[in-house]
Amino acid sequence: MADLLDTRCVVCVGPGGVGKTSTAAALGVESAHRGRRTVVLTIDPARRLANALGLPEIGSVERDIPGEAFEAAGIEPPEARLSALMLDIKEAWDDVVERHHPDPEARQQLLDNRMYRALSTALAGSQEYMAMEKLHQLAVRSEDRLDCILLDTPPANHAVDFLEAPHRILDALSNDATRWLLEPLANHSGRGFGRRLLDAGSGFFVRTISRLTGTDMLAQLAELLQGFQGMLEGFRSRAEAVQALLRSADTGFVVVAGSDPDGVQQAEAFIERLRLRKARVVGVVLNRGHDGRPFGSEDVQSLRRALEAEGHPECLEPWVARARSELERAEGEVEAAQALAQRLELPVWRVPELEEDVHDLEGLERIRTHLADPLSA
Amino acid sequence: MDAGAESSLERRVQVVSGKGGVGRTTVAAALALRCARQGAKTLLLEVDAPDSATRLLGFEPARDEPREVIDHLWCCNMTPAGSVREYALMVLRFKALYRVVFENRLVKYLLRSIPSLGEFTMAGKFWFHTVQTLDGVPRFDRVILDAPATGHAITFLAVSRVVAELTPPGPMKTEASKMAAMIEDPKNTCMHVVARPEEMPVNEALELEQAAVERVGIALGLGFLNRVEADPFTPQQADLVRRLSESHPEHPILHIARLRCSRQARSEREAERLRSNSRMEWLELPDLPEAPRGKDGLRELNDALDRQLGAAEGPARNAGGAAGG
Repeated sequence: MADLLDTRCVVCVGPGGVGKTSTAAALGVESAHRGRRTVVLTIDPARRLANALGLPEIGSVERDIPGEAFEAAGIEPPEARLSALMLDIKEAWDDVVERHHPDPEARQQLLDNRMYRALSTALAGSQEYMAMEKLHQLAVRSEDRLDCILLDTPPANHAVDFLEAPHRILDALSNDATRWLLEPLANHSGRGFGRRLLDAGSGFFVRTISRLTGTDMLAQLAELLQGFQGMLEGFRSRAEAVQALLRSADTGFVVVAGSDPDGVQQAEAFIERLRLRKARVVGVVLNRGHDGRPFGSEDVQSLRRALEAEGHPECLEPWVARARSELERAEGEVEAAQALAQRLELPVWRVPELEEDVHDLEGLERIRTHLADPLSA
Repeated sequence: MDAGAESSLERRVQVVSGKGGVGRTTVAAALALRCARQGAKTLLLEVDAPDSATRLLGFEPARDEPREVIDHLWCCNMTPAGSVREYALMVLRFKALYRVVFENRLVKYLLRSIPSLGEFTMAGKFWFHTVQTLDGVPRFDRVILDAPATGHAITFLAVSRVVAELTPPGPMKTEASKMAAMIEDPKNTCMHVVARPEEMPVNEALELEQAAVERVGIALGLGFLNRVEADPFTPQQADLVRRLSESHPEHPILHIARLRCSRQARSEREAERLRSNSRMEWLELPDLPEAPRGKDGLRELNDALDRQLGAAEGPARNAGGAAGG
């Protein structure tokens, strides 16, 4: 795991239900153990990270995992400070508007705009964009400087949602189309706005679109876009900074997937897309693997004797069959993982499915041991 | 309660959701196949997931337009761009006008900046197929929606309600109200929830159930507890495993037996927690040795489903279920 955690910003990506959050949290603990001041950032509202880190909840304010929490779980507390926070999308948008909008009156109008409210929570890519903003904000802060930021991302079908989010949002807010269609009108927001919209030079287009959306909706959109105008430069420069950060040597992507053939296939597809977009992939974690152990005829014999002594010889056959099928699956998974490591020239870690769900620091500790060494290719 | 289980499987519109990775698509595809085999014209609808259900079933990736893949079963994958286009064409009625306006580069950009327009038009397409007629008869008797995972499913299903409430009067508001009414009609529509007997999936299933009722207003259908151990250890066997593992701590075969026992105990605990906190009825689907693939793989899940529905309803139904696959 050494190289992987040398990166300052580690972004965990992958499909849903594969233990991405626990992996991010375990990597966070490991990083803190290496003496690096670490933050784990999640945008998952399901409180999974809080559960795993033994916190009652995680809010939008950074919260430390106290040393006592580790001690209570019988684990040596890490050397460096470890904290966690959850991104609240609505709050994050408000925060950006509050901090970066130059005009107090227009700012309030924007915050009150109905579409802004919808946009700030529902616009596709909005979550991803704000996570990127937050990542950047954490990366550049000088006070309480962070050595490692672990970002747990929302489940994605496409790993590139993240890389493209800043562009999509910028496009939406600043593209020439919206200016051309709406900006001349947006200077006088308020009553009669819809009528003026239809009378404008681009009226034919606007009229046609409004047959879909209704005029009022376009009017609100225009007002919204107008509201963002003052912030566009800031948006653009930060989006560019975020893009640069994501493609720099400071950022590494860890792809998390299942150990089964589907998972391996998904992981490979993610990596291809990330690499195509010049993102640096630093490792693959395949979770939920089968935990087979090799055994020989002497093991079968000793079990036979033990079961006979207990008066249950009938258990031998099914138990051996189970152990064998588990082993076969585990071996198949290891082979597939090694082949993946070789093909992609990446370290691959395989984490067997744990006996208990990970809902505390002890569980994270178990993941951490499995993340010690990658499979040798 | 059996009548309830049976009847929610006969709803015209059935939505399937749950936590990522629990097997939503598998369950949706199995249900769609089941409907089709019973002779209902069935549409399996996916939300911007180009090849998940069709790959599972072993067909070519689905497109924006429903395609009949086997007798009585159509597959369709909605995309935001495709749905916006379809919606625009429907409203405008003229392809030429659509091209001039909506294929204008600048207008394309503009449409992308309308919050949730993609989700909204996909929800609109979903609604449209539930009421679509061909030659005066409904085009589909059943629409099975393979919805996104928990949070996104709620956003997707609530979008029509939100638009209906928030948008000023206009065509979008009118459409949205119709869509919301369809989703909220308990005689027509229900939502099935898929979970696995593990802590986080159970948590999400319970959250989903609550949000479905409170934020979407959709009727609850059946719960599917997926990948339940098919051949469990009896309590006596589990006890034996525990005792023998203590006397043979490093034994590789016993190690696996112990692992399986503790997983089984965890599953039983979580299933119990789910059942006692949920108001839905939960059916169990077995953990198959190989992930189910193709029509025949899914048949096994449907047989398991039929056995439970049959067992709940008495011997007559049981025989029918076994023969029906």
